[in-house]
Amino acid sequence: MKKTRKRYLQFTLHRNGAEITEKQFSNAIWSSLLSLYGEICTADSKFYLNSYDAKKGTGIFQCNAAALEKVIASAVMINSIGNIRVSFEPKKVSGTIKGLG
Amino acid sequence: MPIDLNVRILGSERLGEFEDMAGRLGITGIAPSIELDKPVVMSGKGLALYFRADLKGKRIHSLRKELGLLRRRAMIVAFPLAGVETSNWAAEDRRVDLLTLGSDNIGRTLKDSTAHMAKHSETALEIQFAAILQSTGLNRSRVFKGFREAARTALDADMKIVLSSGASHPINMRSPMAMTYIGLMLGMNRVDSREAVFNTPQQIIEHNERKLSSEFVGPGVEIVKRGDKREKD
Repeated sequence: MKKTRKRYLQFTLHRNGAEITEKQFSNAIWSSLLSLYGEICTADSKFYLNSYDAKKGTGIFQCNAAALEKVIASAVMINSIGNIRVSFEPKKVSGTIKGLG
Repeated sequence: MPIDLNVRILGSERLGEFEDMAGRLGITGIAPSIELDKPVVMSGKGLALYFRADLKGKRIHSLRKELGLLRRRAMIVAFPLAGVETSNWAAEDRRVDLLTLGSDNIGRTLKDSTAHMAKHSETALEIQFAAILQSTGLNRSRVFKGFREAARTALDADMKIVLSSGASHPINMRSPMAMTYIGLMLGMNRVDSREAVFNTPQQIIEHNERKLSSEFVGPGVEIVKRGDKREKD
């Protein structure tokens, strides 16, 4: 199988309420991606949350390079997780985790 | 310098929350819906606040009157897309900066002819993305349809586009980089999307700052130096 190119994204999740857990955030992205782009794109995205600091709301995720725009767009469209309203801010994209500094 | 040309602040007491959020997101200026004393006011937190006026008239006569009263006071004058007659009037009038499409007028369409007129008078199409964030499922699909069609029409006519939040709550604001991804979802390419977030709002502000300055006489005519007042011999 051909190896796919990955991209890593550093982000901040702004919120006005209690902390959002890693599981909640990850599920919210999957749901948004599924709703906006459908099952095939969601499957091909290979989205994975590498690290996430629930207190600061910062983290890094990885996905397939071809699906990067769609994954970020899906994350930007998330308005609330549970009852907590959020605003997703993409910070920096890189081909390696090291490149994110 | 990214500027959010439309935030809907319900009362001036909530302005601080929006200023904080704009600061966190890296936005350098906002145009709130509240009335300001001057066209541009610098807030204590270093954020530029631009006086924005949305025209509310239903007929051309009342709109002309309203525009005449507001133009010298407001930095941004916007007109929500409505019927063909009034939209064409707003598109043709150089004093109107933005033709707005947002949650209040989702069903409205931007006609090709309106877009071409707007292109010649340098009026931009403003898309307020709060309507997308606040809807889900089929409703969101309808919003996307309206916004994507309008964006396509504007781009085909070479009309400028501005992306703004239309946020009534600070958390509904998005960072400039996030806004460019919303632009991509509306069918723009990367260049157009960046232009709609970073350059066009800035250009409109700079253009209006020049027009509102005391040195401005008319298009292409400015006072560059004032002479001494001398009495005739």
